[in-house]
Amino acid sequence: MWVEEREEGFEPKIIAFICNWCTYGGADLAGVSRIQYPPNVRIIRVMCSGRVDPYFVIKAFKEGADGVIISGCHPGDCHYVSGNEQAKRRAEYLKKILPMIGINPKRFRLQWVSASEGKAWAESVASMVEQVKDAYKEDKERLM
Amino acid sequence: MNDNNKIVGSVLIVGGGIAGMVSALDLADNGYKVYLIDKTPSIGGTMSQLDKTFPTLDCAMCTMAPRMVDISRHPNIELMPYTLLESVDGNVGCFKVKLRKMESRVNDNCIGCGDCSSVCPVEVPNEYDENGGIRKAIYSPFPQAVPKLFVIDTEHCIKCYKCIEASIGKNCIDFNIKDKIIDLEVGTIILAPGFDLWDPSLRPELGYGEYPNVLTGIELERIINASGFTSGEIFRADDKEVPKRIGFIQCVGSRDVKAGQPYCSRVCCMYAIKQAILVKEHHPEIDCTIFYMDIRAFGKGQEEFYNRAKDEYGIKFIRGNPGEVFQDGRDLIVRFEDTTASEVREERFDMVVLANAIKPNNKNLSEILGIELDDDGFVKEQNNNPMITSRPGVYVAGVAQAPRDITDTVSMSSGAAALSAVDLLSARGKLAKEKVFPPEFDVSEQEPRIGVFICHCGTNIASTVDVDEVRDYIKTLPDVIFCDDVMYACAEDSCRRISEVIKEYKLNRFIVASCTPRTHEPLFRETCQAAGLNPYLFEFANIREHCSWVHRNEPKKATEKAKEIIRASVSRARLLKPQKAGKIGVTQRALVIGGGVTGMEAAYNIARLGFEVILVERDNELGGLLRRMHHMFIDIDPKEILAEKISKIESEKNISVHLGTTVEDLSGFVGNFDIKLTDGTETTVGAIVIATGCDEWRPNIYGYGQKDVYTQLELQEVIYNGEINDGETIVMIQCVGSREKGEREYCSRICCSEAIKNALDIREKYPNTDVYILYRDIRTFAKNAEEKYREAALKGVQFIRYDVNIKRPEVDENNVVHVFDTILQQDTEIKADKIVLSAAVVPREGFEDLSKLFKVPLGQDGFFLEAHLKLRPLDFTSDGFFLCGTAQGPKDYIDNMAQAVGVASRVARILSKKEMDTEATTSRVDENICIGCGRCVDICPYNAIKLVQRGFGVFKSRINDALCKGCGACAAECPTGAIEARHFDDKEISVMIDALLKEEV
Ligand code: FES
Repeated sequence: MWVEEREEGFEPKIIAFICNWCTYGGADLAGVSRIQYPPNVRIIRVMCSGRVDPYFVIKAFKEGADGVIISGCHPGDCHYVSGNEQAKRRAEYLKKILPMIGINPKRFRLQWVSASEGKAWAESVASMVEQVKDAYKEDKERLM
Repeated sequence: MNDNNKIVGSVLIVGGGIAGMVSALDLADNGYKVYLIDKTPSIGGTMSQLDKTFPTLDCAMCTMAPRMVDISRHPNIELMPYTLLESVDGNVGCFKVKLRKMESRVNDNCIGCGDCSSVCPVEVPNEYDENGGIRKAIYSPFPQAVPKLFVIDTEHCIKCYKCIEASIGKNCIDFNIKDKIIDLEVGTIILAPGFDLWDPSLRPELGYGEYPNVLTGIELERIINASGFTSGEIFRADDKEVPKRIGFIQCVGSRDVKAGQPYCSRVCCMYAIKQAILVKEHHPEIDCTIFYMDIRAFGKGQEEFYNRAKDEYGIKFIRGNPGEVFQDGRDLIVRFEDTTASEVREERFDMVVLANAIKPNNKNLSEILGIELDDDGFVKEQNNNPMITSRPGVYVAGVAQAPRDITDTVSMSSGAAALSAVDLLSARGKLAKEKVFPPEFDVSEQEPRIGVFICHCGTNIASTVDVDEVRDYIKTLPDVIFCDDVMYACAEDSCRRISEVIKEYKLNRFIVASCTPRTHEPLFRETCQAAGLNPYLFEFANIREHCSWVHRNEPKKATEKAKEIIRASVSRARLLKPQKAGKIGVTQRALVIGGGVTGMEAAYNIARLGFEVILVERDNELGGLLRRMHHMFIDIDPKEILAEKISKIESEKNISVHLGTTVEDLSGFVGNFDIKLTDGTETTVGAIVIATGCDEWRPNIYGYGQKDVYTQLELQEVIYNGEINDGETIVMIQCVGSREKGEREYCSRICCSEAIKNALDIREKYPNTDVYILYRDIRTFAKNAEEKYREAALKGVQFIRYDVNIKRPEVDENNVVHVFDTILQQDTEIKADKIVLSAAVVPREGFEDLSKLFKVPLGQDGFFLEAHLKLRPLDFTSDGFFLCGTAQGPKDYIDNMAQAVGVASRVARILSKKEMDTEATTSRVDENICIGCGRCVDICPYNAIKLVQRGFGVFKSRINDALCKGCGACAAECPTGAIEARHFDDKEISVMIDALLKEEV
């Protein structure tokens, strides 16, 4: 069990699938602007959030990720017209499926960060870290 | 050869803003050599300072940055920043120009590391931030600058030589560098110098320069901009408090004869609305009020944007002319005349933003080049073509000719490129280079042999990440044959070393762990390619932007993270496969649909660029709407224009005209569309231009259909036939069918100028007539239009403002017009002898069929929808389709000409190549696994996937490589894993997940 394998105060590890055109640019801008954020996230670049197969998300959890983010362009901004709409649709059913396989859906998040939102990217990572920690607390309480 | 007929295949572009950039890329892609000079250290111009662009709120930098990189890498563009034009001799085809490369004290060894700047003790207000932030005396103007080249501002440098110390060993700073004169020969010159802004302190009563919280629009832009000096935080300059009320004052110095700018600056209404919306998005609680004379939301999507500002964001609009701004305690008080109430009122604000006028910046260039300027100092266009200057071979793009927004600038810039290309046609390709690479070696049978470079990036990475530790760890990973650390991976010598080690160690994969692929991947891919390695065998690990820069206080964790990032890259690199873009031949022929003036001009220019054109016109005559006109806003006889265009078409042997014809069928894709026309013609074309024009709406309101009620177009006929009696009363009603929510929300853009021109015509011929124009906002934004408006008012045309929210005008059956005059605040009745309706400009019948046949989209307004409103107004998203003129949205003759000529340049980007590349990393279907469910077909945004029958009831997906853009959405959708998203396939992503989460690999 996820909760049992982690100790109180652990540092969650988060896998982020981010699209090349918007969020990757946003994450770059966070760097260029030197906005500091927790070192918990590991980025996997894909061309579009629409590329993210729900299987990747489930696999990441299976291999030990504490949290997973999919981040793409804002609605209407997808470089490939509608990839983020596909991502949204898939995220919605992922959120339904995750509890069924024993994963607190709070450990997963779909978000939009544009290439100009360096700060938003940094904040999203920080808040995801907190969200995962909350999920840990929740799950732990449920267990006890 | 005599210099007089020498044709040089190169172009000098003066100014590296968006106008110069677009011209440069168009020309360079079409086989011309381009010298792009800018007086600042970077290209980007004003657009690079903007936060978002109206009306789509696109991030300005995100849309332009890829183009900046394209420019920096283009083999046919020589970027010359910090350079001025000194003198020009010679004629079109061969100008001899002298350039002055300003003393920057930094030589070509600069790799943009910024070590020099961090030690420089001198702080200077940063021009790029409109002096809001600070920069050093050795600086690069902004983080995304291209080239990423530092310069020393010799005016402020104190010669402490700290920068030299900091860059020891790199030999990049040299205080002995002096101004350098460069001599060049170029075939044509394009001027794109941009503009200046009027100093609002010349209207001292508005308090600019006196009160710290009175700003200009561009100053606010830098504050709102997330990469600006306040990181996008909006606060007052003096007490750092977030303002609660912001007032925007329009037309500061514009439309103001006394101030010296009688013209409208054309963009201020929209950028003020945009800024107010952005303010609201940051802080919904801030009250925003815009003081205006007329809201000029005339462009595509702009009226809709204006409405959203009012309805969704609650931005207040007050029609009034502020006469004074003064301070009272911490408040700024705006005193204004409320023209809707005819009284002087005051409002309190915490911040006031002035929309100061755009001013030309052409004087110096016009002297050097000997080109004519107009009375206002903008470049005087010739022959009603906004790109043509008075000197043959010298063209102009952007605001230098007249104020205009980015969309209109981009169209015009392509236009200037097209005209240059026509002049230099015989030299096309002569100076252009194609990159050549050695043959690639075959890696298919080899075990992975991976090379890794880990970059210190000066101290950028190494001060946080322990590079030695990372290197030693990566060396232990399986298949890593070579691993070393370097100071700067992107430096010339490092790139050379990459090539050497690839050969020496027989490496077949290469990883650079440094910065971001978004800027540097092309460089390293090319480096690999030059060593014989397929570029897709290169892998990037970002340990700077995504690691060292953002975890500066946690070096241990950052070092661990860097190891994991590179470990994942190693895992992926093992699986990388060479990818190859396909090649397809291009049919060098274009189809132009629409034989109006715009279509004709487009066809003519495409033909002049050396391509065959098929021009299809639905009617039995060329000319379109212009045939119904007798007098245009620009003072030239439409009949003359028509005759000239038709004779040009007839004289071009490359054009075949098909009258009374439409397109019946179309198949194929970019480079090779098979078309069938209704006259039986069947042929193949490489590109298609939609120039179908527009129509005038036939109103069903205001008594249209009654005797003596006309549209503006019909009125032209009436004037022409002399059917007006002197002494008549003529009432014009504006916005008939336009600016109506839920119906036609857009502004028809041309009606105000049309009405004013017709009114002036009438008053001139029949001095005793009474002419009234009933309007909502007067939108005379075009060159000379504001002047005509003023002239009309002076010559006795009576303007009555109405407001649909108060009361609509009415026309009764006796042709009496009832209107509530919002300025006099009273009901007025006018018995009209003639009523003239400024009916909306509407899409032509048949747009929908065309849209379905070509699978190109229409916008909500029913006009054709371009690929990108700002930067690609002449392209469709689907490759090979283009549009121009009123098919894209209402516009006047001048703007149509810019687009018609510009589209030729866009078309040439495809037709000038004999072959073209297809996307290399498209998706692929394994037919053995595909079950033909069709889910991929449904979600593909490019219609690139089709189900093909493979037997009775057996269907398989097939992806058309020429249409696929490689987004990979289909691979994610496929329930059986039959689709491989090449270069981002399931296995590559899976092993990265593993490597990021698990130590053992
Ligand atoms: S490209 Fe960013 S979500 Fe599609």
